[in-house]
Amino acid sequence: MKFLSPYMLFWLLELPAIAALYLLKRTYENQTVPSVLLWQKLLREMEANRPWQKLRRNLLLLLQLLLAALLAFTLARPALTGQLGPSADHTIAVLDLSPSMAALVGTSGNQTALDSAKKQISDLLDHLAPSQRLTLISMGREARVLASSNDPSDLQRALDDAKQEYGKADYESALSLAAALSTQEPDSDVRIYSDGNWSLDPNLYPRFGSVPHLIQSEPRGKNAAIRHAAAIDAGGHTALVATIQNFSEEADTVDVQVQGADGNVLQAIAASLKPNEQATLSWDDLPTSDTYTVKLVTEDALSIDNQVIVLPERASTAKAWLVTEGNQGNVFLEKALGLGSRLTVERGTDPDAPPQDAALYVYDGVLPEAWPSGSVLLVNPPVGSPLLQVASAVEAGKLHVLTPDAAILQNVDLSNLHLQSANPLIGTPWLQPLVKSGGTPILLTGEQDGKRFAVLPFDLHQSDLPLLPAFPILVKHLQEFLLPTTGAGLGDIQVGEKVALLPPIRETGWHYIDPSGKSHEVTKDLLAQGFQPTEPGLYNFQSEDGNTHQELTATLPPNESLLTPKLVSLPSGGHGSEQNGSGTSDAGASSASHAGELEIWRWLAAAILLLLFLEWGVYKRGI
Amino acid sequence: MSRQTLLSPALLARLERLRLQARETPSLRGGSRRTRQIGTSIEFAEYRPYMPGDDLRHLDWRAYARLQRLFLKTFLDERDALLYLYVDVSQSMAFGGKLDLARQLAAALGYLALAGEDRVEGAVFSEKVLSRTPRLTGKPSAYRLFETLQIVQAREAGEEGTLSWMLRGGVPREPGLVVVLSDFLFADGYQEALRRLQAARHQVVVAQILSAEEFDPAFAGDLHLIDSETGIGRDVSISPHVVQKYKQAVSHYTGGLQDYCRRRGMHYVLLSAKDSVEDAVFRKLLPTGVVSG
Repeated sequence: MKFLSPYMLFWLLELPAIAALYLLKRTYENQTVPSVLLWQKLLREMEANRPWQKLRRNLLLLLQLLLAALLAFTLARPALTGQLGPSADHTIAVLDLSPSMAALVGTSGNQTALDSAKKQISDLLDHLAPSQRLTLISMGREARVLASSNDPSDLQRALDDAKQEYGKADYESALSLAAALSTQEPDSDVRIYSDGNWSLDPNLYPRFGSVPHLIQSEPRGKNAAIRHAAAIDAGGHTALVATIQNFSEEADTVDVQVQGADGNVLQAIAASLKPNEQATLSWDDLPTSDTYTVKLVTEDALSIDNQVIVLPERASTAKAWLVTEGNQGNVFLEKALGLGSRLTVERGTDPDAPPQDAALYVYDGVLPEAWPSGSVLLVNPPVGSPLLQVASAVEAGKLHVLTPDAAILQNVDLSNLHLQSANPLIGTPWLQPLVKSGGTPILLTGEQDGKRFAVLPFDLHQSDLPLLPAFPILVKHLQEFLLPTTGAGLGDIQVGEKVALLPPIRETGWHYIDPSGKSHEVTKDLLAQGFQPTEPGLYNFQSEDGNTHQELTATLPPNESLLTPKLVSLPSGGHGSEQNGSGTSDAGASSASHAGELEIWRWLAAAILLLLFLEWGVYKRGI
Repeated sequence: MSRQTLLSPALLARLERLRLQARETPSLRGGSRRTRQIGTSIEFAEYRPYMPGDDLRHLDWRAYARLQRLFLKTFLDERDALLYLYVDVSQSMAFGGKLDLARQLAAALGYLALAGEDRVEGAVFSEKVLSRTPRLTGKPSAYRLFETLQIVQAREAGEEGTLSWMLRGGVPREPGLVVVLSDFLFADGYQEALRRLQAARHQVVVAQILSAEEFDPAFAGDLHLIDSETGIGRDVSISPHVVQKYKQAVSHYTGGLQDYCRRRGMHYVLLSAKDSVEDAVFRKLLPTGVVSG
């Protein structure tokens, strides 16, 4: 228990004052009685048990002292601290489910940050008064209101159902959702159970109705992680590169192992890392294996980021088939596609007679009558084809990148792109625009019938795109998007991302084995909606007969390995921007250790009222 | 206070039907009270053989004619009783109508005694006997008793009510029925005085009169209680608990007096000042056997 206004306790000084007044006040009224004989007998009798009688006589004084003390305590605003219960009528609890919450906290046991947060919320629920409501928001792949109720059992069920997620969390939506709820009820209490590592621009933080409390758990010890690993099979031997990082504030030495598909350790290195340092390790001569596992043997707070499974990239034999308008050829495209050694570009003449063995079909300025069997890259699709409805050219406008995070646009700087016009596509909801010029999309990607599509609906010759340094990178990324399969691998994606299951997995009878070893059927829904891994590791897709298999590795989103609690200052209040801007502030520091505070002055006030009645009664009865 | 207000005519009429139940006392005066002694009433007692010196007027000549022996016919004697009425007029009796009831009760007892041909002597006392009536006899002299009682006033403060004067030779000599009408709140006790009365062969009747306020005080708060007679003060914080204790003390005190009387064969009657004199006589006194119908 603590007092929110402790200086008010000086009112306790009135206690001796009351006692003094009482001593001064005690006057006796004269009353003549026939004889005091009987009273004398009575008083003599009462002398016998004097201490008790004295107490009785001073009952009024005692009551008054108690009353005064209670008043002083009430003025000092006593509050019960600790995990007692929610203080506001409406508590909004935001529960972070991101991978970093899998970090171990506390001094012993296997309690993760998520367990700790759940325990704290559960404690809140135990003390939830019937008049109090709690809204539980998940800060996971999607921001969701898990439950909003004043029934602890409902909330507990929702809390138990909240599971650790390993994909990229939508922090911004969860914060916005909580902020929107708290703005509607400024008296509500927002508690965010998270480490605060949200990688968000502080200027974009939503404004809360009241100061939100960020409740963080200190991770147990340091953390090192494998940020990235890649391997390339160069015929007989494999080169592997891995980036490891120390995420703690102290130097660390980690043992890094590379294991083959059979689990045997192929190589091991001990690496010393300075605080927050990143190191790149490489192995040049590893024996060939289907998969490689790069592993940090060291125990640390977050174990899930200590292992990455790598599918080695193999020399490709894929063929790209390019057909251009009027067979003029497109030297930019041809060169860009041919960069590296993955694709051999073959030029075609008739768009309606594609070869069957090509993996990628590129149509520049022309469209076939029917889609070929592989992935398709469309450049400047012509108007008037029944396959794809294209409107007449629209003049180019301001360039606007819709999804800067998309893999295709990584390291692609389109800010200097100039183009004359673009052709809007009509009726293609399955294509996602990535970049727009004015209102017209100029780069779209999508999937249809198990085939991947990318569209650049403008004439490359009427733009400076091929001249930009970004062009080969963009084409390379498009290639990777359109032809994701490398060897027996389906590719390498982040947990939570969706990947289309391409042939031959679309045949019936396929199943896959998830990282925990469970086997699942590949259902039609999965084929239609795409596959979304839920945990990091290797997903092994196998055909019905078991002869064909394809592998997919899922990795943790970057930045989740950073466990150090980050002090975040979230703006609050209806107006003003007093706490806007800087990422850390003292307000955040104080809220980091915030525990529930239940003001109990109401109970004291009720007790005072009761005492007043009692005192009145006692006074009236005359003692 | 007129004679009519002291006792109403209707009450007087009712009182005439009552009779004082005095024990046989060695009175020298003839009265209407039958005694076990042989005397001169018309009530036959027994025959006894003649002894020389007997009054020849009492010889039963008819028996002599029949039996040739001299027999004396004896009759029971009838004597009167002497009633002493002692009324406490100390200051404490001035509260709550205690003195009024004491006066009325004394008048009623005196009247019924006079009506029964007994003698009555009234006296008022506080520290000592203040005044005394002569011995009254005969119904007509009741008027003198009433007159004396009517002018009685409670004494001023400073005088303490006590029975100690009895120990200093105040006990009446001639045995009779002594009725003490008082609140019996005597600081120096009552036991010795009552014992002396009994020792003087008096039949003692204790009529304790307490006011309603003494039974159930209606005070509250911190009080400085002042004794009306001595002026001594006591500080008391009155609470329901204290009142409860006080009531216990009262019943203990009255019970003590009653017990004392019962053990010594005295009559005891506890009266509340708010009782009417009719109630006092017919409800309280009649059952004790002091008077009978």
